[in-house]
Amino acid sequence: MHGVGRTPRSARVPLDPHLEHALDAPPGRRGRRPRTRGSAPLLCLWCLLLLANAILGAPPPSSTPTQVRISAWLDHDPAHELQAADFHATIGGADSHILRIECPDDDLVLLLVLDLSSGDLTVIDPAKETLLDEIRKLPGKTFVGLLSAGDGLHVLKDPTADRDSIAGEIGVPSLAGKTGLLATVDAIESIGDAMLKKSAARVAVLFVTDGDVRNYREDFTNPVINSSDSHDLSRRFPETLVQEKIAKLSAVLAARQTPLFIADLNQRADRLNQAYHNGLKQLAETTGGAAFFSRSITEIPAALQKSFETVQSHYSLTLAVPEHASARLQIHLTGPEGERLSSYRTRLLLHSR
Amino acid sequence: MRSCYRAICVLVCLAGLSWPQSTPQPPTEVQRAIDEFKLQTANLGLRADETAKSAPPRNILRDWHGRLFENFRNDLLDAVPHEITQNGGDKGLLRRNQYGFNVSGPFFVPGLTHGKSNTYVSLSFESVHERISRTSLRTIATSPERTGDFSHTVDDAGDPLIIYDPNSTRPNPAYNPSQPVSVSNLQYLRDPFPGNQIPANRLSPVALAASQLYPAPNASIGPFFQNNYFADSPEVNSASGMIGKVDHSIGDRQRISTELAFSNGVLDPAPVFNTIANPGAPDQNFSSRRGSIEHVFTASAQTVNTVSMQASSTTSRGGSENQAAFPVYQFDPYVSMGQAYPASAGANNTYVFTDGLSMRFGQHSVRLIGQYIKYQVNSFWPQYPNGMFQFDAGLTSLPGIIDTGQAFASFLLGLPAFAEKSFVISPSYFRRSNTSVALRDHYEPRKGLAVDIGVNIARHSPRVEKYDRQSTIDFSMINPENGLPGALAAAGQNGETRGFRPTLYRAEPSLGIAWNLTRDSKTVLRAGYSRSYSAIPIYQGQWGTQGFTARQTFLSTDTQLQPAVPLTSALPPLANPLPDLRPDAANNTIADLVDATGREPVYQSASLTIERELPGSMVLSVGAGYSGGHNLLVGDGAANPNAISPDALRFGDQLNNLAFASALRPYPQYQGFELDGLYPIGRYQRDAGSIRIEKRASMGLSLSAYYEFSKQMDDYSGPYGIQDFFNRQNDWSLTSYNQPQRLQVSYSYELPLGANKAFLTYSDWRHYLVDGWSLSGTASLTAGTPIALRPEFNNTGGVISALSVNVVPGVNPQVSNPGPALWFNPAAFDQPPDFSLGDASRTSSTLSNPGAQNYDLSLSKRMALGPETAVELNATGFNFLNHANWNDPDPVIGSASAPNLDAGKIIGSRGGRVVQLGLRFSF
Repeated sequence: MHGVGRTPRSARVPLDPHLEHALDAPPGRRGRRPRTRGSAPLLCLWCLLLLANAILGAPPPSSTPTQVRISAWLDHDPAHELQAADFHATIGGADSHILRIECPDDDLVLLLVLDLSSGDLTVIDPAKETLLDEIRKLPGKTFVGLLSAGDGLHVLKDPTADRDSIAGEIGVPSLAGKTGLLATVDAIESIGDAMLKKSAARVAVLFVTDGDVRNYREDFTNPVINSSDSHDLSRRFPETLVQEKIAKLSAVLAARQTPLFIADLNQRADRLNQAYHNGLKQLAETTGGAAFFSRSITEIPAALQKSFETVQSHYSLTLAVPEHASARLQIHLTGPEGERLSSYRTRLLLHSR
Repeated sequence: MRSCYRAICVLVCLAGLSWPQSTPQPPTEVQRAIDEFKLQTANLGLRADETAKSAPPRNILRDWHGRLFENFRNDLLDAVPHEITQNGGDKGLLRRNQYGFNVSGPFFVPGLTHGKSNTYVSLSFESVHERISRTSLRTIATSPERTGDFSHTVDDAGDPLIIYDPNSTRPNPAYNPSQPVSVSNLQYLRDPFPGNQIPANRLSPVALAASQLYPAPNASIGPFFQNNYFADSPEVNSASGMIGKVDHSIGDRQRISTELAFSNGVLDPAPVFNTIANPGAPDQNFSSRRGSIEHVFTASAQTVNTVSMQASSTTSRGGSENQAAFPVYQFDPYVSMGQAYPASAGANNTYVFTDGLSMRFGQHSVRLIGQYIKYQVNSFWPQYPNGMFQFDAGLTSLPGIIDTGQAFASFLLGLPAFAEKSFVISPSYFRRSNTSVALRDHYEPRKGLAVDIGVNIARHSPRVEKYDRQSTIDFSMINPENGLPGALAAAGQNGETRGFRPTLYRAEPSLGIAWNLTRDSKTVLRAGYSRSYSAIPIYQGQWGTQGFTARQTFLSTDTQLQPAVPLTSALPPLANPLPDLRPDAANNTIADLVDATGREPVYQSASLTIERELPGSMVLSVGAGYSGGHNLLVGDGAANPNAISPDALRFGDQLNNLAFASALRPYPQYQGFELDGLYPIGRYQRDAGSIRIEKRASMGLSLSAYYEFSKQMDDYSGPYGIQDFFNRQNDWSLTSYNQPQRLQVSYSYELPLGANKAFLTYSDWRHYLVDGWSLSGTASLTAGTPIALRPEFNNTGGVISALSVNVVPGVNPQVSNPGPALWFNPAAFDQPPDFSLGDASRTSSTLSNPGAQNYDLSLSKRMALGPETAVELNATGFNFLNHANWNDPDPVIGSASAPNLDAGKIIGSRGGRVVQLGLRFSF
């Protein structure tokens, strides 16, 4: 049932111009609240870092956007159509007006990013078969755009409801080689945010990846260079570099509003890849999305099905940001009476650092 | 128009109908989103269509990433290592700087590549400079002993150790040959030196001159005069290296990746003492070079081909030929003098060519892999070019009586029991290759069940030498000296093949199953089996080149009565110039023996694991595994094809006569065989169970814990070797490095402070203080390895090289509160009688060495300077709890008359907290 009993679209609150400003700005140069310099003396290091920050990326002061979109899920399908008034939200402890709600059976533009770069056909083939099945099962109001991430981000197919054309593109062989998720996730998220800004439709990003953290072009493995250095302890914590990359991306994605979903089809058990998988989960959850993992080939269909179900079933809520709210929003959301929220996005930055 | 369409769609959906099959026009909101998608992707240059041409050029520098780092360690940050504290030290030297950079990004030429590049480059550099203390607690001759005064010298029980004068040796007319030699039935009489002091005019001038280069005791740890030299010297280590990678895409189907790497290093090992008689390793220069290229061709969605070539080379050069010549003097248990391998060089080159083809047919994924590997090992490896003299207690003992005499006293008298000199006139250039073809099929007969079947056909070629300068003992040849089987044979001559061993073809099967036991895919059963062979490798060294090289050996006819050779400043030259390929050229030596059979190490393993996904992002795995093998490669301590049967122990003291004992050997013309750790006869079995819990990141915390209990048995491992070469089952016991229990925990926790976290979410300057803190840590706890006991004395005439102890019936080997004062009860064991085997197992099944614990913790603070730029400060504490792990207890069991008072005691502990500070700027 679509669009019945909810706020008519024509009556929805228009997008806030401040939000548009925030979303238009390139990453790293978005609005930032003027900083308060503490009276306490800081160490020289901090001064240097602040100076470097000012040189490298300090944005001009900007006003704060006044509305944000977050994703949420209910434990069960509601007994009746939900409206914005069924939810209650606070941001930073202050009441927030819920301006709009998009439900699971509303329009959805799904940006499906294929990062199938391992060359392992035992993974790729079942993954593609399941993808085709899942895409064919999607409701008609879901438009799927197809991209690849293996060699940088490339558009394979613009969002469309034509399942056959998507299937045709998925069937095209993808170049085996380098994993691309970490290198492309911010770009696709920025595209998603731009789409959210222009449209009331739900937009979500789903990465389907079989990548190995060792297979990135950027080096996260910190390989041994001097094999004769037998007292090297710096590699005792091999996950350091990938954790640092994840931390950087998390900081950026904390300001993105498009929920990110990741289906990792080839979970590896080594310590470095464990840190990588944990990082993927962290990235997805930062944006209010979720990550799903397949520990063996037999689990690939289940992981993908779960991914599509979760993407499809998300609610998108537009919240008004209370005046004087911090740029680092702490969101608390309660669902309709009798309905429990299984999860929702609890934090959001109004600018990326 | 669109609103009409939308209304129709709504009606259709209200009626419960599906979306029309023909492509619908998207509703307005969706169309806006799609239009924006097209605009954004065009602006970012992500489209292949016409719109991409209007995209603004990208700033390609934004795609470059990298890091600069410095890791710093200094003893000011560390705890003083326990082993230094216990020896009265208060400082352990450590200066270490490790720095480098990594940059990576798309290759571009300004003005030519227009912001697009299919070529990606990466460059990493690292350099390290280090000075670090190396400590060891050793025993050296006391100052009086060096002048020949042994009046204060005691045995391990603290009783006077009598030094006998070999010049006073004479047959005992009252000797009864029908009875074993004992104090009351001596075969030879020998007088002690008066006052237990060797007269000055009896001291060897060569020994006296050498002992001037020996250090004086500087510690008195004891007991008695043992552990009287604490070596604490700096080791200097420096290295620099670089790795460069280029990755290039050719169209949509092909990719080429190349990598080049090099490293140069210098290691100046810590000297045991600072004279030319230093027994420590010589200076080492290392270099490594590696290059590889890989081509991936995606022929179709069902076919991918990967071809790669790799070449690598590591070289090492130790010492210098210009170094002052000094022979090696060994007088166990004191620290020896002189260096083995004072000047050596080696190179290991490996060339690998691989082609892998992956194809998909229905429910089958097939992978076909062909691989060719060429190994080259070049060695110039003279062990004792200046000669080696080995002294034992025999010549200063009362013949046939244990706990008399002393090796250092024999040294002072200039009476070596064995001497050897290496002659190497050219390097050796060893070669071998592996070729294999593997076929693996991944088959999914039904949903939730996957089967992997594979077979690898391997061809293992034997080791050859480029110029056929290789030799072995051929048991099918008759030795001209004694007419018995076994003569020196050169490769490629007289019907010998170039490698002595056959080229082997092996089939290696494997089977794996993954089965989802439940519909929700949360429970997976995995099972696997594999069988594989391991080719005989090439080690550095010049083993197997006898005749082209020489080890001139000097043997004593009776180590209790006659020296092998007088101690002089130099050993005589070779009687026959090299190459010396006479069939009897290796007679009376410990000859190099290349196993010429078709045996290779064989391994089998089977495992069963059940994984269950639990609530809270947790995964539990429970598994059991078996692995085993036979024909494993062992060395001289665990195999001796020329061993004398233990039955010969009945001959008692006659075995001390070299000629008599040699006649009992299967190949009496040889004193033994040098196997270089490559003799395929070992066997092992390992059974293990394990539990693993993984918690994926939630609330910033991720955790992984792994516990394993295992039991591994074998017939070869251990520090001393095996007792009975003729009945290996008697030596089937716990593997000497078996750790029956092992727990490893690793965790990572992002502190819930700052941006996007639960607490202290500041937007002002304070966020620089509270953002970006994280903790990572590991903990490992391992149970101790089994104790390998050994008797203090081995009076078996050289028949048994690794004698076991005897078990004393009815005495509990355990103690109630094991600790450093007493870890086990030595009274439960005894020295076997002379010329008899011990009855205890090679490694104890009930006694274990102390376990070990280690805890590492890393605290990081990340400060973001921009979306891609950050500084990370890192403090890592290795063994951050400064936990001291006890050393192993003294495993030497003395006789009832001369017990080892240290037996069962633990002397000291080891370890200490090491802190490393790191600073990394990433962009």
